[in-house]
Amino acid sequence: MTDIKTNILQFVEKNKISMIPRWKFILYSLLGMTLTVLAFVVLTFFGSMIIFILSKYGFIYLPLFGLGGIMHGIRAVPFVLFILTVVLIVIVEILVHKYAFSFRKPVITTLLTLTLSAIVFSSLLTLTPIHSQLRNYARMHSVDFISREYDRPLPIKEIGSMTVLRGTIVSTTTDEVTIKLFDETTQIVYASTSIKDNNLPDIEEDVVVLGHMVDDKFEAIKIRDADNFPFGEYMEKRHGRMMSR
Amino acid sequence: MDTQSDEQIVLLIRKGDKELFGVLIDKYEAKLTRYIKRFLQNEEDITDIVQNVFIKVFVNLQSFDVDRTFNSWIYRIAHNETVTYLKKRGNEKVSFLDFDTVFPHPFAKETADKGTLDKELEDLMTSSLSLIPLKYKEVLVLYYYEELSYQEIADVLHIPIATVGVRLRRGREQLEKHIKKEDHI
Repeated sequence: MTDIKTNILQFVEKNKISMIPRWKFILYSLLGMTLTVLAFVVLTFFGSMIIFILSKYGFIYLPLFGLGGIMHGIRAVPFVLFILTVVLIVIVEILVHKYAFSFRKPVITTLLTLTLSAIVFSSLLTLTPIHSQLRNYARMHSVDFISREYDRPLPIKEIGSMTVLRGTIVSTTTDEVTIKLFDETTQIVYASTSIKDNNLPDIEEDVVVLGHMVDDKFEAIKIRDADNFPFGEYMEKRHGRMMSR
Repeated sequence: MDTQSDEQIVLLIRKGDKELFGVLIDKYEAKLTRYIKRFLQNEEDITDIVQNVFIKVFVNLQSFDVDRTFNSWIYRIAHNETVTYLKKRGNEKVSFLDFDTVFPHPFAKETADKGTLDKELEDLMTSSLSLIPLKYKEVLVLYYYEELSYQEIADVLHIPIATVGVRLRRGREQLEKHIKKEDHI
């Protein structure tokens, strides 16, 4: 008998080492799965909430304004959030790496799976009326901590010297339009000559406006119909249909 | 007992026949010692690591999934113990993230060669194995010396199967590079 075998069998016999009971592993697995599902649900919900709010404030529609709009959009991406997520996953990976001893997926698989699933499911969740309904419910029943989150002014509202607005046109004159924004406030938008030459949009149209604030006036550089955005019309119709049920 | 698989033995140990753990030790002690010897030289350290591996195996035996191979499981634990030791010693670079793992070459599996050591490769490995990075060394050792399959190596190292192929090919290239360098000198 080798030394190792003798030692180990003696440890076993004298109960110096013992098997961790199966129920503990099952409990850890269940706990791990529950936390993963919970984290996924929370991540997906907040991800879709961000997409919803960005959509209602018009940021999602920036590609409608061409390359310049896309560049503004990229500058407005909250990279800090992404970096924080990556840092968090790396910390979790280090902890797991330190304490796990066997079969386990590597960090990159976790990272990619989590990020991709969260993006896909958040986008799908945004197609449902859940956020519109939740916001309306919170406003009607004075659940302030929820409605506040939906109506909170965006910290990234200003993109360089430009701003994007999204809303429904409530009135028009020869050189200005008034639009009702997502947070129920109205904003007067002054249109440049080039916009006026191409005709101002009609009342009740859902529009996205790129421009900049000069004092309390919003000077529009470009106005686009939000329905022209891929899936925009589909999303709005779907929202409207589901809300009317 | 010879006719029973490792997984069946594990089931019997779990049910209370703890003496049977000796059978697993008999079967794997020499294999694990040989495997760890490819990475470490100090005999005492190797014995300590092998003993730790068996202790961890016993303590965590209830977590082993009998639908998987015990062989991969025990090599995984041995691998982790060895890597942890090397990290503590601090003179071996152990990467946290690896590019091969994320983007393995799609044809890697097909381009890797057979799993037996030919004379040329055996000479290369004997002379230069210690000179190449750990990530290539471990794949070469598991494939050529321990004769593990691609799937088993992927399970042991937690890398995609395609990455196993990539590392085998690159490991061989690295060995050849070292030989060429020595020839020039």
